[in-house]
Amino acid sequence: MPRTDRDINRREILQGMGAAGVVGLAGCIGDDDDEIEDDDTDDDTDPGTDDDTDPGTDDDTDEEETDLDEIHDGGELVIGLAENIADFDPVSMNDTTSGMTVRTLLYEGLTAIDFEGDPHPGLAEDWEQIDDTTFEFYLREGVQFHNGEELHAEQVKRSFERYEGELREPDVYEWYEDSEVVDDHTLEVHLSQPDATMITGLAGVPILPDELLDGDTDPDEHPIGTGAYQFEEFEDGDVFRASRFEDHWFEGSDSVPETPPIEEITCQIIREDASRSSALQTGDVHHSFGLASDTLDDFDASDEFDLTSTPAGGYEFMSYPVQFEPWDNANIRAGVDRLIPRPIIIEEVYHGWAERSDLPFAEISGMDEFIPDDFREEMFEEYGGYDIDEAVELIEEGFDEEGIDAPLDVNLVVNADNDDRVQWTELVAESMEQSGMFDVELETFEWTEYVARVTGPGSEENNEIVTIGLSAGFDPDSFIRATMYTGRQTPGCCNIHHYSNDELDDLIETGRHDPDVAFDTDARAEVYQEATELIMQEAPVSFTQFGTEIDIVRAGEVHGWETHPINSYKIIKGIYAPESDQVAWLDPDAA
Amino acid sequence: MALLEVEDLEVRFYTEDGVVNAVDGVSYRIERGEKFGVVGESGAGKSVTALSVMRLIDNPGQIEGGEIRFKGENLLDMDEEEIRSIRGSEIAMVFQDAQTALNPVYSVGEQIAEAIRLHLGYDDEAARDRTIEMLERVGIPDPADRYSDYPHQFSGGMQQRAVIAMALSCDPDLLICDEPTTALDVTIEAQILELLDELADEFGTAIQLITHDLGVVAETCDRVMVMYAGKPVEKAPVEDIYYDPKMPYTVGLMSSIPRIGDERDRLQTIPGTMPDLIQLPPGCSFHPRCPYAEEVCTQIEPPLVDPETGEPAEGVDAERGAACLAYTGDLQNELGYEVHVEGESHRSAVRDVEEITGGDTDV
Amino acid sequence: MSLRRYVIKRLLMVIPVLFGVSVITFSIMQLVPGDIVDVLLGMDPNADPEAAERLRQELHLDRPIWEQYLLWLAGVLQLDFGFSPITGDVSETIVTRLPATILLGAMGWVIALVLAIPAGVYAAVNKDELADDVSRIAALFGIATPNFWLGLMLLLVFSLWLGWFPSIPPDVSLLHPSMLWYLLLPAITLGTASTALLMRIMRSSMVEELNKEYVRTARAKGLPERTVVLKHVLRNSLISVVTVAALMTASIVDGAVVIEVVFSWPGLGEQLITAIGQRDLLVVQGIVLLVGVSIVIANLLADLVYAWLDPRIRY
Ligand SMILES: Nc1ncnc2c1ncn2[C@@H]1O[C@H](COP(=O)(O)OP(=O)(O)OP(=O)(O)O)[C@@H](O)[C@H]1O
Ligand code: SF4
Ligand SMILES: [Mg+2]
Repeated sequence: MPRTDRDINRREILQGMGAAGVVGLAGCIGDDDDEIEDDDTDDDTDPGTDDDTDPGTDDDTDEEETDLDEIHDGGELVIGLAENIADFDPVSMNDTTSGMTVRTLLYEGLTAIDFEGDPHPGLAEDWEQIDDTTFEFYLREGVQFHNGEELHAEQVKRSFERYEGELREPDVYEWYEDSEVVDDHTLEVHLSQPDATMITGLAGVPILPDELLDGDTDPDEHPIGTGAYQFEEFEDGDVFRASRFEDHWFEGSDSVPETPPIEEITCQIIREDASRSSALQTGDVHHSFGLASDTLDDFDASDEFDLTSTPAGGYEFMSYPVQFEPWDNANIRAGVDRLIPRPIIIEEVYHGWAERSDLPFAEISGMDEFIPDDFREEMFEEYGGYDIDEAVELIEEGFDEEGIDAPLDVNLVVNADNDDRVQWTELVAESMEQSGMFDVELETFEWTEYVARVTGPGSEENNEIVTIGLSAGFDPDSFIRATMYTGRQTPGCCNIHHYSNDELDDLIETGRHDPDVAFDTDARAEVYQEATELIMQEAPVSFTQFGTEIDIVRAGEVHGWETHPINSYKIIKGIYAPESDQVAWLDPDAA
Repeated sequence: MALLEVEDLEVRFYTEDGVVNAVDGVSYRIERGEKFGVVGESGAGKSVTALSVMRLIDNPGQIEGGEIRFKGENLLDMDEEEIRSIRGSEIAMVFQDAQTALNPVYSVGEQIAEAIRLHLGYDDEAARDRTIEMLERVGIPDPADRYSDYPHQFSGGMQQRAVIAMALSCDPDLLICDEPTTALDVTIEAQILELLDELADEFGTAIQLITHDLGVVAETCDRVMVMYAGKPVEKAPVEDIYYDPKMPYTVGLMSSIPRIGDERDRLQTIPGTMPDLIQLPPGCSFHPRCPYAEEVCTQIEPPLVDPETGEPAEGVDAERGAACLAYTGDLQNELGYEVHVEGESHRSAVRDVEEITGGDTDV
Repeated sequence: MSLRRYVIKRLLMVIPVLFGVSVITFSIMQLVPGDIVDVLLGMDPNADPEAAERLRQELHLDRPIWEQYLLWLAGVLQLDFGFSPITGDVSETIVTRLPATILLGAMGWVIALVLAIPAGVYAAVNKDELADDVSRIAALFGIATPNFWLGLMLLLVFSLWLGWFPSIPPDVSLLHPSMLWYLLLPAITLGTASTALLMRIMRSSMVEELNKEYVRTARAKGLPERTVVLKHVLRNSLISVVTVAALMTASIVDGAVVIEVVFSWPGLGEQLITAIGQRDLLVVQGIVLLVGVSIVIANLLADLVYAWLDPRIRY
């Protein structure tokens, strides 16, 4: 089953990791949007109206109680983007900047995803699971594309099939077998295998109009979707502009108007963090993100800005060279895991703008659903936390088993262009040295060279501990598959050292694709708890921290902004998300 | 009133190595239309004297004393503007090396016309016409065509002719020629000197001719001043210098005069070199090289006196003067040399200075 | 040789230069580990390794380097600079970004000339005096200040604190007055190092010329000092300055790389650095060729100015 090792979730590298600067990292291909599993446990986050200065822990959202009458209609929102928009075609784009501008602002999928990762009706008003591998989707009627075309089922089928053979093929073909147009507004989709992440994944699969599907217009030249905003212009490396789509299908609700209040969106590409930060301060842009960690506290403290943040799916990890002795010994790996000074890393390196990662799942994975608090505590007690004594004990045991003497020579490698990552890697190296068990050499590489080294063929043949970051999303699968599943051995992303454990592989596959499990939350919970314990014992990789998504807007000028955990949904969800009752508007009197 | 009166001129250069007394108590006078020669070895202060007259002494040089009266007015009291109106128009200068004296990036014609426009107030066309006329005067063929040529397109002799044309273009009363022929070969040298002589007569221009070469002075000048180490050591009408030199240094120079066309190196016959102007030897600064030097020469600095009377001759108007202790009565022995002259006039004479007695050269 | 023939000859010399430059760039880019597919898909857990291999084949990355080069060269000879999977049509990318860089470079250059020449002249004329010392220290700072830092400082002071300039390019056409106003800070940043260098060259060249005999001749003519300096000395001094000014083209390209990032200026410098990081070979090749051409042209222009300044030089 060649495709089962693919993941519908889009988790990719988080270049600058979490909130930290994406300082001129060429090749910042971080698409960390993602979508999860169904299940309507709308136990909602309800972002509090807190001026929380304690970032890392919970949603830090300056949500104002929005009253429809209060909302001002109109205005131009100016956003400072850290990267150029590299690609306009959804089937090939794989950077978050293209995602947040083109894919999610201009296009829509059959489902819509809220701030907790739960799916809501999107272009499909409803859907029904017929059997293990058959779904029927009922399209919303009267939906118009920006070019005036009306939405019909054939377009959906063709939009799916357009992915075949393209770079993003796995987005669809991970589960898609074929589909039948039942009528203009009904599509029956046959799956190649059940997939727990399919429904949420659909939110990220744009539906295109005939004009694009027929090739009359090139989506790279002029994207046309059904989204709340329509494309105006793009100047390469400079500016992207979109305007409100007046004929968007949403008819309005008690809390969200039928069209977005913000009339125009202008995205200025400002690569340098410091420049972006000053553009925000001068008021040349209303909103930006990806600023250096050490400036966040200042923004947070200032009355001029509203900083909103939420735990996100990015994670940083260390991969152990399990093909080499003694790193095939789980005790040694688990021991090193407990030498990682996570609290210090979060405090010193990320200034609190990150989350600890004692367990392999971040909050957004839906941990509440799958991993109950008491189990989490149990695991932490047993295996987690920074504890030198415990660590040394484990490592000594491992050394005994392998018959080697401390200190062991270790190479740690990291990419030089990510300051935060280099810093935490140094902290880990220091901690390993201090344990007396290791002699650590640290080596840095340029980004692309590093990527080739750690994901290219032969990456497992390097006897070195690799530190790097990836993005996961709203599903637990996305946190463990990429780095630990046998099917993800390099070349490819990102089982760097070719760790292979049948038991774990089995759990990973079952949790997502088993017909009896994939669509059953309780069954999945059992699987992921089992996986958690196994991973804690085995420690094939160590997670060091989970990221937070952070937005900064100019206070008083932008009202109601909310931060979505998935980077590539940032803009649209921040300003207009009917399914989440979320809307932001511009104050015409301010500044 | 003389055209130019230089009185007790003192010029110093404040260099990192010390203070250079480049010109120290120089006085002389030039009458209208007169040709006045200044001779001396390299470094004697001839150029500095000349540049002082133009007031072109630059940092780190400083005119520290004396007066330079041109037509009775002290040039040293004038402001920049006044002196500029004299430069190039009333006093003009011809430099040693015409090739470097001309700006390589402007045409020869332009460089001459520039001065004409400035001083005579001619418009472009008139200045051009006069320039062409001047070029013709100095013997440049096809002057109208050569007007727009650049200096590098001229031969050495032609360059010097052009510089002379430039200097004479505003009809100056005094032309200072600072070794105008050193850079040229002897045939050209003769032509240029002749040209200068001729034009000076034609324009009624006085000339201060600076050279190391007494032969050249003999060819051209009426009166001569010999300089050594920043000081005048002998002043005399040109005949006296030739027939009856009074200062041993002059005598030395004399014996080194080649005949015109003679290829012998000049000024190589006086043994030794000029002293360091920062630290002059005490007494007579020539004593280390003087064959007649005695003990006393290291102690007393000889003043410029009339060799006949022993009267002081330092003033502007003194016609004859020599600075040697032989004429103040301080020297014990005689200066023992004789001058033999063959030929009718000093201008073409061949001299042979024969040393009769040698002094105490060990001093 | 006539001027025209000289120009043609010089332009023809561009060909071997560009050939050499492109071969070298191509080779260096091959020597650096990692390729554009690693950039695109390396860290993408959703990417299909087979798709990656397909992409490599499509981009000819699986071919031997000489073959890749020849393929590229064949395209270039038909003025087709290729298609990059990241940036799209390379010619188009370059053409859209070129005007911004030319404008920035030209402004930086003009600023450097406008500041450096008078300052150098002034320092030379007042050699060893206060003005000269001040200019020497200023030049040292100018040369030693990293563009990156200077740009951020200017942005901080004039944009953030004083609010005189916007912090990002205004939303108008390239030649609009408010765009030119915005461009002042980046252009100053770009021009500073060059200004400093040029000023020192100007000064020393002028000092040297001031000691030449022809200066004395000019003064002896009674010309006012202004005329002496600005007519006679300046032109001669400029001869060596022109050479350096032409060489500055390279450092301007170099400076533009960083400055464009700091000032969010959508030019080629920013594109070049991005493309190198992304192993976007075709874009790198395209820009490097252009830089090569511009340096050759700058030197050619310098030669022409040179000949105009100095009649001794004839081609
Ligand atoms: N710019 C200057 N700086 C320092 N010293 C100088 C300068 N110009 C002239 N002098 C000094 O003044 C002295 C006289 O120089 P001057 O040029 O007048 O000699 P000169 O008699 O013209 O010799 P030459 O035959 O070589 O032209 C020299 O010893 C020289 O060292
Ligand atoms: S004073 Fe003495 S040293 Fe000087 S010239 Fe006369 S004899 Fe010679
Ligand atoms: Mg001289």
